[in-house]
Amino acid sequence: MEHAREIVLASADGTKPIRIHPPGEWKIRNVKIAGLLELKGFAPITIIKPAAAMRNRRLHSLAATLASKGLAKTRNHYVVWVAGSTRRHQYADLGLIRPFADPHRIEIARDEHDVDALLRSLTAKLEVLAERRAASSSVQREAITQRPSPLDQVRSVVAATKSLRAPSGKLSAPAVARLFGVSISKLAKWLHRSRQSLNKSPEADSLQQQLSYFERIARLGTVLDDPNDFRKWLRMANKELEGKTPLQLLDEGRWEVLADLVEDMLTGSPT
Amino acid sequence: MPDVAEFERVLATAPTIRLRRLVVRMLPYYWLAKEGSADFLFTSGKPNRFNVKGVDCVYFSEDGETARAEYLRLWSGSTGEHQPRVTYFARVQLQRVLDLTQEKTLASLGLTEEDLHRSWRLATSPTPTQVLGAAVSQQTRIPAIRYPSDAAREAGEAGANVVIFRNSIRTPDRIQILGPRKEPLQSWPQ
Repeated sequence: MEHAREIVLASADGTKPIRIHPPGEWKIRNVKIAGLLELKGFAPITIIKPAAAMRNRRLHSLAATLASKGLAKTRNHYVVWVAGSTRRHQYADLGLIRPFADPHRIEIARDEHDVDALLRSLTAKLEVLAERRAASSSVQREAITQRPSPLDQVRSVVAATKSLRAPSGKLSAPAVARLFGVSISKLAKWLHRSRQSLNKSPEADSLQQQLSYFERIARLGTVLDDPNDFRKWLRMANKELEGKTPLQLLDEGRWEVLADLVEDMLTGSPT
Repeated sequence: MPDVAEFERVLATAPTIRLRRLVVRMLPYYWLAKEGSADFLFTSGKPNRFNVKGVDCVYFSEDGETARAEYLRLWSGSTGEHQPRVTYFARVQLQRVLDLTQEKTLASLGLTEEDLHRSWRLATSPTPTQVLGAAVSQQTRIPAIRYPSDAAREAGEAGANVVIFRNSIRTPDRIQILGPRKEPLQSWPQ
């Protein structure tokens, strides 16, 4: 279970063992250390303040148990041990960190002031991680909305662009350049690659996503069977494109707009 | 421009019409003939005049002439213009349709005639009609929009298109693709 902006403060008796001052939107939940083991999921930040009397061996055993339960296992969780201020815990640091898969997620504070400084840093890191997660899901959503076209299943439409594929079955940059009537240098410019890289790996996996837009555009070949007719269409001013030519759109990198237009043409969708 | 939420509020009481008629669509013959069959109610989720990316809907013209104007706008000047074409028909029965050919409906939505004909394909942010479509797709009172065809207007004709939103259509409303038998080839709701 994910806990947004929550800090769990664990102590031997579950009371507030230290005063901490996290940023305003972060909530603090006090729990017993023993209760940590019962949690179904961990908060983004877990602060553990063991009893001063706890022996190092027990402390290290606790760290190992928490690590085995998954504490600080994912990149969105951090642990702050408040230990080492007493003589007993002075040399406990290594054993508090060692059991955890990623030592970067484990911090050790000596006192409340240390904890506050660490909280400022950790909460900021977590905010940035959350932003990146959001951006990543938005990209994934975008990828999901790139649903397969109904034309992907139509054999005659798929067959119309067979010439764009190499014997390996992958889309080939030189074949795309040939059909679109442009040089490899021009295609490389559209794809933001170097001409050398296209020549060296014309069917590279990294090109396939980009070339798939050109394949969708080339489906116009199901109707404009002669490649010269297709290339003529690429150079014609188009009312649907506010008078621009399809080639201009390719220059502008608006391949998807053009691929969508071709799909409308083939499926007769009123616009 | 009203946002989706504002449109949604207006849609709750916006004037509507009842639509019971055949609608039509025209497309190139060759690929369909080779295939023999097709998904006539496919929704690609790609943007169009009344939908942003990801919204499932189908567009039809109200008559053959308008479908022809739509076809020609897309194919004019290419060798596809004079190739054989196919038309297919659907029967729609819709209790409440937002009719944007009526001035009072446009006024109730705060839209203008110009908004309806605004170019959308190269727009970098949703156009007013796309925002309206987004609002329609999120409710079920009104499953369709009737609007003047820009292609017909350009051809000097008067014609209308209909866009029907898949997630908004509920029985007894329906759209049926007509085939050789009494049973429709396809229909919504399924």
